Amino acid sequence: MDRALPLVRVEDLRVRRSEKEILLGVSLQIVRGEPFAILGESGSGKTTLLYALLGLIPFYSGRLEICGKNPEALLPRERAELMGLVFQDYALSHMNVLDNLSFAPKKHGKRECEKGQGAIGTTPDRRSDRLLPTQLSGGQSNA
Amino acid sequence: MFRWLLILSMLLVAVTPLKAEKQSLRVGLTGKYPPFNYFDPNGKLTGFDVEMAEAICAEIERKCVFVPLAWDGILAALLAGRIDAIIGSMAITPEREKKVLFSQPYYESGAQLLASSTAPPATDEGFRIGVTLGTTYKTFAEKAFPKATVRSYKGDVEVLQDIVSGRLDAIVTDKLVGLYMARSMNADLVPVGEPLYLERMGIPVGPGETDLLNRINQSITKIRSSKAYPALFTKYFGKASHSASSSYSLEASLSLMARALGTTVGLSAQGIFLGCLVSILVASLMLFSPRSLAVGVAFIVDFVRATPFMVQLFAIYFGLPSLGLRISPWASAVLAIALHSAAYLAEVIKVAYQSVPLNQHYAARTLGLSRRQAVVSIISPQMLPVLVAPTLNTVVAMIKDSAIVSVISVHELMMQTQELISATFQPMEFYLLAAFLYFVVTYPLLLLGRGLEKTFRRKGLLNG
Repeated sequence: MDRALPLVRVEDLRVRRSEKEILLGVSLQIVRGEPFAILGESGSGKTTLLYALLGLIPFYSGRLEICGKNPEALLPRERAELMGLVFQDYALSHMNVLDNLSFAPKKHGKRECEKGQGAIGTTPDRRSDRLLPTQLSGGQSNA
Repeated sequence: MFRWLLILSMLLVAVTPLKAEKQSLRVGLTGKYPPFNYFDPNGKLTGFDVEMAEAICAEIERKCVFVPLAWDGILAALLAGRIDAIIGSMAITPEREKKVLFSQPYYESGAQLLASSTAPPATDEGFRIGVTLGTTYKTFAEKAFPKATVRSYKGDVEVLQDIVSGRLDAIVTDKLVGLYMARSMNADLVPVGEPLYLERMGIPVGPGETDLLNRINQSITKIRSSKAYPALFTKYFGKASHSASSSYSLEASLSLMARALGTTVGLSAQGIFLGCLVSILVASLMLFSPRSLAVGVAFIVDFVRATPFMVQLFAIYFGLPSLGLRISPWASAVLAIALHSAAYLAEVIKVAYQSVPLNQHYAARTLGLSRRQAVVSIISPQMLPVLVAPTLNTVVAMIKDSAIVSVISVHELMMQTQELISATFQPMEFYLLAAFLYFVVTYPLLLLGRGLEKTFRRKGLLNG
């Protein structure tokens, strides 16, 4: 991959959600290794921008490139390998901690879940890997 | 056992007319018209017609062989030579006389006003008369008693119950049927005035059977002038004689009710299962199809939810045949239950789907899942806790509402209950038993719903 190529390039992105114009032409570039912050008031469209970047909501005009590729043209699996997102409420689902962590690898055909188990090793209580998200404390779910 | 042998032997007689002995007289009747001809709780054919037939057979020195037949096919059976005569309370009409030979009448009856002995005179303003819906008695009652209020009921038994409980003063029905029922229910009813019109009941034989007809006519004349005839009348219609003849044993009624409960459960299960399948399709259309289609489907769902189940049942049962679709009562009932439950369940599924936060979709797709995969492995499991209780509520409501299908003659629990009440005249006992049987089925479902909801709430999978 060309090192000079920006990881993320957005040009004049416009997004509507339920008939309402949210993003009115956003342009930005993010290069490899550079910390990048998006600031704005509540409701100004920070989350909408992120969702659009990940291809979760459609945009109706503008251009979007991730590593030089149009995310809309990628398969869900390929897109997931390029990008990830930590949700504000972590978006943990109905499964227990271990299943939550190992869910995606399993779905994509990786049998061993060593990674997941290794990661939980850092939680203070070994038994907590069978708990449900709603039974965890705020700090625990973040870890 | 005896009853089955009896029915079997009757069937054999019915299908082998040529083998019938010369000495026998094959008598057609329905066996469903108490007190004239009916099967007693032991499976024995009895009643006024049956005893009259036995008396006639004794006179003409032949052996009575009774052949139970459906009323609407009974004349055809006579014309086809499968039976020799009908002794089953058939009124002599000019139309029937064109096809068969009628004997002289062996009894007369007709529309009669029967009033409670404490009732005011029938000519009073506001005199309350009850009649069975769909009979000509209403017209007769209104013509004969212009100042009276005439109310329609589902059946004569219901009318009599309301006379006993003081909501009505009188009934207009067949005189003999009314007297028999009044006696069986211990209702204090007396005939007021003359019958509004008379029906003469005769014995039809096949055309050309003049010899047989003459002998039957002679025996009727002889029997009617004997002392046995008034005694027979008193036995079935007189005031003071033996009590209700069709008293079912507790065991027999319980087994009938239990079998009918099985029918109710089977019917509901079939309908609700079909409804579940349809509801998933309907909910998917409401959630995922293009807006215009989704709005249309949602409107149909609202329409079904906003109209009475009974109206839908009738629309299917009477409406489809008029469109050229022949459909059995059972299939109509299953379809109506499926339609009604599908509408409710589709709404439940839609709400459950919408209760899962949008973030869960986004998170699933961020992990590389397709829309379909997201719905199957992330969204559906989280819908479950929200689905369970309302779904079981709908199932319970549907099992209860299935009682309504008795109106299109599906023989389920409610129908069986009403049959037993009209045979035993014990409404309180049998309605309570029916309620208990419904409860036995529905209560565990309610408990299951509550239990699951508690579990989900404890695990934090269900809020509120």
